[in-house]
Amino acid sequence: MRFQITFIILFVSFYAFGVDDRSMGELFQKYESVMDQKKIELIDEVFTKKFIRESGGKKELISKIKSLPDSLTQPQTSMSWKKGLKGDVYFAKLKENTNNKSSGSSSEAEFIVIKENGKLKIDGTIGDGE
Amino acid sequence: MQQNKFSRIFISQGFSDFSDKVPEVLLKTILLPLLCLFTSLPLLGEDCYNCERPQRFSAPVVNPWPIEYVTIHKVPFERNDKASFCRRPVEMVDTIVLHHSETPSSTTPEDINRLHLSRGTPEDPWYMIAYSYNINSPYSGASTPKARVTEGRPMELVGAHAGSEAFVPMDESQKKMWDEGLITCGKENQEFKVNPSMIRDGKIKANVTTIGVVVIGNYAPFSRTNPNGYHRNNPRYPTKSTQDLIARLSCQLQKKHPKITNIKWHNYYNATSCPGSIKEYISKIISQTRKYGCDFK
Repeated sequence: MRFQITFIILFVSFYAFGVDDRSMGELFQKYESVMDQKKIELIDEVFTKKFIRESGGKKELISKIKSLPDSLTQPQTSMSWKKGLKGDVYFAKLKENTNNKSSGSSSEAEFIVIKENGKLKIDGTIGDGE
Repeated sequence: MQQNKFSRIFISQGFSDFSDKVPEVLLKTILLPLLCLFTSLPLLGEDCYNCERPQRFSAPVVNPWPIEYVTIHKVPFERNDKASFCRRPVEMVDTIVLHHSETPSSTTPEDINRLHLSRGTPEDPWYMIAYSYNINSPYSGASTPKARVTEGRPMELVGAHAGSEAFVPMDESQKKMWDEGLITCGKENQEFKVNPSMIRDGKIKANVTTIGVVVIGNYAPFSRTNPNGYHRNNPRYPTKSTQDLIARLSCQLQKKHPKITNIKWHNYYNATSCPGSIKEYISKIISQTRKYGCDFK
């Protein structure tokens, strides 16, 4: 009986507080909708308040998004993620499946993802290293 | 003559005759102000990028910088004692590698350390901040953050910045140090051993012969893989002050470690957007170091 209760608590906790592939996948689906299809109404669901503020505000962020080439020219991407070793932070790696390294942008990026009001949101990026 | 507080100072320093002969008014109004002015003149130079001036009259410190072009701040960084790291003689280092952090310019080295401690895997975590020096400097037109250089991972520890798959040739002295087993890896409070994986086809990991200098900020354009980047209609470049700060730090490092004669950039070693537009200014930065008496390739 005690084992069952523990299992139920763990199960509920996971769905209430845990982060899984599905929730991270949904975040990056929304992210690509914002960046590729210019669905700017999703900005608040994708980025943290801090990120938007540090981007120069919502107006500036929207202007940056609209300056990107349209979705037809965007390469396919793959995403992998892991939980950070300290604190409630996640690192998601987004890789563009392309050989085109023009435009000075990286074909790979590491995103900092945190929870804001219980929802996963992008809080920034961090330079690659190792 | 009754002693006033000014003449008492001179008496205590063996100038009793002087205080007797010089009138008190002359002492107060001309000589003492002049003395104060001349003793403070060396502190008024524009060789310091922040308000904390070098302690020129303090007690001698162990292993001082030969020339102080910029004040290097030290902050206590948390380290992960369960993580592996490698030690090297600082004489192994011949190259400065420039990075940008891809974070907002307001990010502190302590923030970067926290993020780096979170990276890696439970089996192979990071020891501490990957860069040896961190430069905070405002973007063009901005007044914050305050320009400041902070030491990161000590130079005698191998960094984690150029890319673990980047290997470079060794010169004779570097090869000798490797052959003598002076580059060793391990964990705190454990025995350090030579790690053969540091060498591939006679080349050594670039992290062993370089130090990472990061300019905190994002100098690459906004894109799907760089949402922190600058607006494409408003490109961001390192300001003259930022370039000068990099030059001063580089020169200061060369004065202390003459083997450091190269300045490279992250995507010299790895396919990455780092360090963004800073790369376009490397030759200007190298020219700037010549003004301080340094010579970089």
